[in-house]
Amino acid sequence: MSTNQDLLVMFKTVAARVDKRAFDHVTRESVITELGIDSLSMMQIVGEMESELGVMIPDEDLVEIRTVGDLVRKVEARANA
Amino acid sequence: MRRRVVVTGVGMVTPLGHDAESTWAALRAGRSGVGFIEDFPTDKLRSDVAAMVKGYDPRAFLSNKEAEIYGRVVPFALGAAIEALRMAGLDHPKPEDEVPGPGGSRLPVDPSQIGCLMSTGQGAVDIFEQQIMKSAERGPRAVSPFFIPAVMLNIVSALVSMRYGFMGPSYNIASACATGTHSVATGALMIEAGEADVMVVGGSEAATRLNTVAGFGNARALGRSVDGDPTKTSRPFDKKRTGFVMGEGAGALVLEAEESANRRGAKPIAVVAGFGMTTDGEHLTRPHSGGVGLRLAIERALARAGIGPGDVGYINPHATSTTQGDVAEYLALKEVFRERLATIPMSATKSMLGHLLGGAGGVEAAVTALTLRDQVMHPSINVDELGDELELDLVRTARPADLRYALKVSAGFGGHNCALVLSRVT
Repeated sequence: MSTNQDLLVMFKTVAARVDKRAFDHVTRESVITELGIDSLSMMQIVGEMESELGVMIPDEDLVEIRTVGDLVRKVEARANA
Repeated sequence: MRRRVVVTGVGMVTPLGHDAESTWAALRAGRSGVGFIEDFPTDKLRSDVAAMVKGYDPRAFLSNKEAEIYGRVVPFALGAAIEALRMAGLDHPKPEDEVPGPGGSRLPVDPSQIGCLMSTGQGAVDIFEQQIMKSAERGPRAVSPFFIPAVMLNIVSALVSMRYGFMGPSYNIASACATGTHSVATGALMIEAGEADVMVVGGSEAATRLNTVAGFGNARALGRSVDGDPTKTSRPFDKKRTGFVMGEGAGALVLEAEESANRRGAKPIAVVAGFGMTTDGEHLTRPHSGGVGLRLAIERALARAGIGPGDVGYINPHATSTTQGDVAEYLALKEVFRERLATIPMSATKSMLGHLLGGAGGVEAAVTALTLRDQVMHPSINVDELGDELELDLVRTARPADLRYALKVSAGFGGHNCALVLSRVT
C-alpha cells in the first residue's frame, strides 16, 4: 500500500530523473506549472510513476490537477484501488 | 533581375573536427576520419567501419534533459548552425522572456526575414530504436511524450528558429543523400524569390546504428576495411572501391541576400551563383546508368549561373565510392564537360569523411565555399589507380588554385539530384 508520503518522495525522484534537476524543495502545495514542468514533462512523469507502481492513471484523473498534492492524491487512489 | 545570394557563414561538426576550421585543416592535410565501428558488434554485418564524431558534448547547446530526449543528430546540427551564424555575425540568441515578433533590434536582420532549412535525411534513428525497445519491454504507456517531437525530421529547423526567434520560412527537406545540397539550393531559391533575406541551411545525420548498417550493408552499398585498415575503405573513383562508409555530422551555411550582407557589413566568403534540381524517375536506389538526371541538374545549375561548362574550374563531386554510383556520376560529368573533364581538378570529400548521408551536402557545400575563400583544393585520398576508363584529375595533395566557379554535385536514393555552382566573391 502506497502512502501519500511515499508518493510525494516518488514524485520528486521521478521528476528529477525526467527533468534532470533537483526537486528537493517540492511540497504537496507546490503548483506544478510554477515548478517549470511543462505539459509533456508532466505526462512523462505520470508515465514513469504508472510504470513503477504498475497502475494506469486514466486521463480524466489528470484534468484539474494543479498542485503536486492533487496528483499524489489521484495516484494514491488508483494505486490502492 | 534575381537577387544575388552570398554565403556569410559556415559551420561544421564532423568526424575530423568539432568546427569548420579544424575540419577544413584536416581535409587539406588528407587525414581520414574513418575508423572501426566500436558502438556495436559488427561480426554479422557487411561493414565494420564508420566515420564517427568523437568526444562531442551534446550539452554544449542543450540542457541535460534536452540532451537525453533528442537524438545524436540534434547537437551536431545545432553546433554547425550556431557556428555558421556566429561567423555571419547573427549569433544573438533570444532571451528566454522575449516574445518573438517581426522587427526588433536584437538581430541586425528582421527576424521574420530569417528562415531555416537545417535538414536531416533520417533523423533520430537512435531515439526510434530506444523508444520501440522501451515499449517492447514495458508497454506503450512507457513511451516518452517527447518521442514524436524528438523524431520528427524538422526538429532542428524548429530548434534553431526557437533559439533565435527566427520567424521566416523553416522546415525540413529530405532527399536522402542529397538532403543537404537540396537545402542549400532551396534556401537560395527562397532568398532569390524574396521570401527571406537570410536562410540558415545545411544537413545533418547521426544514423550509424546496428540496423542501419545492416540495412545499407544488405543492400550491398557499404565497403569494409581494407587489409585491416579502416581508413582505406572510402576510395571514390579508385579501381578497388567496393562501397561507401557511413558517416555522421553536420554542415551549415548562412545564405544571405547580397544587399542584406552589404547593409550590415557582413563579409561574404562565396556566392551561390546557380543551382539545379532534377530526378531520375527510374529506380529507387540505383542511379540512372547514364547519369542523365544528374547531367540535367548540372546543366540547369550552369544555366542559372549564366555560365558554360568551360567556366567551371573545380568540382566537388558526390563520389561515394560505390561501384555503380561513381561511374554514373562520371558519365554525367563527361556528358557536360566532354574531354575537358580530365583536366578539371576534383576532390572527393567523402574519401576522408565517409558519407554523411543527409549531412553530406551541407558539409561539402561548406567545404566548397571554403575552397573558394582560401583558393586551395583539398586532396582526395586512397586513389591508387583510377577505375577503368575514368579519366579524371583527382587532387592528390592540397593544391593552390585560382578559381572563379566551382561545382558541387549530390545524388540521393530515390533518384534525387542536386547541383550547385558557387563562385568566388568578386
